Amino acid sequence: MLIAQNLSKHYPSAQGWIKSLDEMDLEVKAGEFLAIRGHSGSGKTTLLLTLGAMLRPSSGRVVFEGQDMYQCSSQQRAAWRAEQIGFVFQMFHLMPYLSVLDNLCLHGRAKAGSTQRADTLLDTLNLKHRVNHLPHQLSAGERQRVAMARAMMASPKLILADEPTGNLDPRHATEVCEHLRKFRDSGGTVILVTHGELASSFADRTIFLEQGRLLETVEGHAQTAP
Amino acid sequence: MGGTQEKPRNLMLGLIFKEMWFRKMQALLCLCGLAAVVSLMTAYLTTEKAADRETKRITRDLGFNLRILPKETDMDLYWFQGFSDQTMPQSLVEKLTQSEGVFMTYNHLMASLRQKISLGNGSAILVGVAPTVTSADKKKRPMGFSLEPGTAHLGYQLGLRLGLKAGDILQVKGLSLKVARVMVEYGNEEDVFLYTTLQDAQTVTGLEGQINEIKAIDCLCLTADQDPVSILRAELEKRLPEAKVIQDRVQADARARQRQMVEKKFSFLSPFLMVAGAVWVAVFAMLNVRERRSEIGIWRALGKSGGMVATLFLGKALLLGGVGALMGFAVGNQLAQAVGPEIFQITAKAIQTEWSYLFWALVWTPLLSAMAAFIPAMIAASQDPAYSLRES
Repeated sequence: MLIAQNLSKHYPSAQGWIKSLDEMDLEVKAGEFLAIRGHSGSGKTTLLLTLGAMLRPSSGRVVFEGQDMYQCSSQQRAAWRAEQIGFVFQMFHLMPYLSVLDNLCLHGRAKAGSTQRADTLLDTLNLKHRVNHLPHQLSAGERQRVAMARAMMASPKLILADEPTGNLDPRHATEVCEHLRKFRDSGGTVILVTHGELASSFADRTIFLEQGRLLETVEGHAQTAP
Repeated sequence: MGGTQEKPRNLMLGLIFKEMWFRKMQALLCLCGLAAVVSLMTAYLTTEKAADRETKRITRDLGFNLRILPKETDMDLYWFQGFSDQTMPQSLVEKLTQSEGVFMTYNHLMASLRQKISLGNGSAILVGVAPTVTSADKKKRPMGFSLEPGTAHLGYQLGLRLGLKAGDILQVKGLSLKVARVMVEYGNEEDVFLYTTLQDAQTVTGLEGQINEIKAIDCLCLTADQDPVSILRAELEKRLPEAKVIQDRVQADARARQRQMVEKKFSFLSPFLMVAGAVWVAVFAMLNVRERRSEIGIWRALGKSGGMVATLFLGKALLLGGVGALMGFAVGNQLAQAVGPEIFQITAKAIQTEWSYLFWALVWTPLLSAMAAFIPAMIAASQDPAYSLRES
């Protein structure tokens, strides 16, 4: 489904060039739940953003269902993100001035049925009572569930989650991971960046990064970092 | 939530208002900033106009600085007695005013006839004056005082010598004139003047249809070192070869310097303040976009187009710019109306609301605000969303 070939990303800095990704190869199959782990600065988030067509790599390519994403225009990538990918961020990145319902409907502006879809998702994620609340009126766990619901609004094939449990207590973190697992069970693909063992315990495969390189792949539930 | 109804959500204007309502203080500060710029500009431009008007009025009130005389005037005699020994037809005034473009050089043309006459136990200078003629386009107010036929205005010394006061009757060579007033002491030759209408003076002197001087103000406003006299003379030679012109150089020079000083001051200050105002507006708009860079990243991450993001930011900039312009104009105008009359006392009543400034404020403030918001918004929108998101 998603193939990264020879993927590198370099950033200039005062100390010279930083290699955030270094000739990385990766293949993600449809319906897979992949966890990406590694120390801070190992390139996890850079890899996730690059796979999600949000950050152009310095070299290499990202192919989604046969289409090289970075050969497309910025507008085409935006359209692809809107239709195929749902994002969940550690900092939630909800629109602070929009209600829960409006945040969900950002995906489906003017699309018929978007409110019903949001209704169903909020019901599933136990957020019915928060529909007209603003993000700052919600708990961290609720915010992350709203972000999850938003990611699922367009019925994407792929969810990219960047440390979605980083700001949550274990109970809420488990809840979020369970929802991601359910998404996987319904045929979706999940790529999750995480520091913790809890989140990766829900994954089918866990990869470990170090200095932008693939260090190790663990099939099944990875419990400890190498 | 079962009752949630399907309705258009997140329409552009709604998004703009929701964002502004959520960040009320920031929107208010931005609005106040924009209004402050516009109000300062409105107050400044209104008072600048008032200052220009006041300067023109003050310099005009310095009096006539040009004298157009019959060409054969003996200038020695002229300076000794204060008027020309020659006369010229009154119709020359009409000829001069009908000459195309004359008011670009000469203005406030006032024909007069001056003659020395015996009056009482001594002499007086009879001065018959016609109403001033000004450019019809410029709607200038006539200079000097108005005279009614059959009336006389007496110089201070003359009134004292003849023992006359307002309302008395004065006989001048068989013509009865009612004394309209005895003027205050000027401390110059005007203290022995007897002012009448031109027609009355012509009757008294038997010089019907004749004048011996046309007073005017030069509109060149050139200083002495710029040699305005040669330009004035060349102009008159073309238009009225029967006459010659002399200039009161000291007065004309003072007038020109005053007006040039005011014009130079404003020609330096106005563009400077306008640029400063434009930069101010731009800074407010840019700061607003900078604060919301991560939001641009979210919009882009969610697959919204750069055009949609730009519209969102432009819409807010246009809205704030428009409201800021309205508020700023209202405040600036009030400020000018309140302070202006204190500063510009001669032309105080002429300080009025300049509606054209409202038009320009409504055009330029939203435009500048939108332009300043558009550039950083488009830069942020054209970047990979990851860069904007990382700034949050």
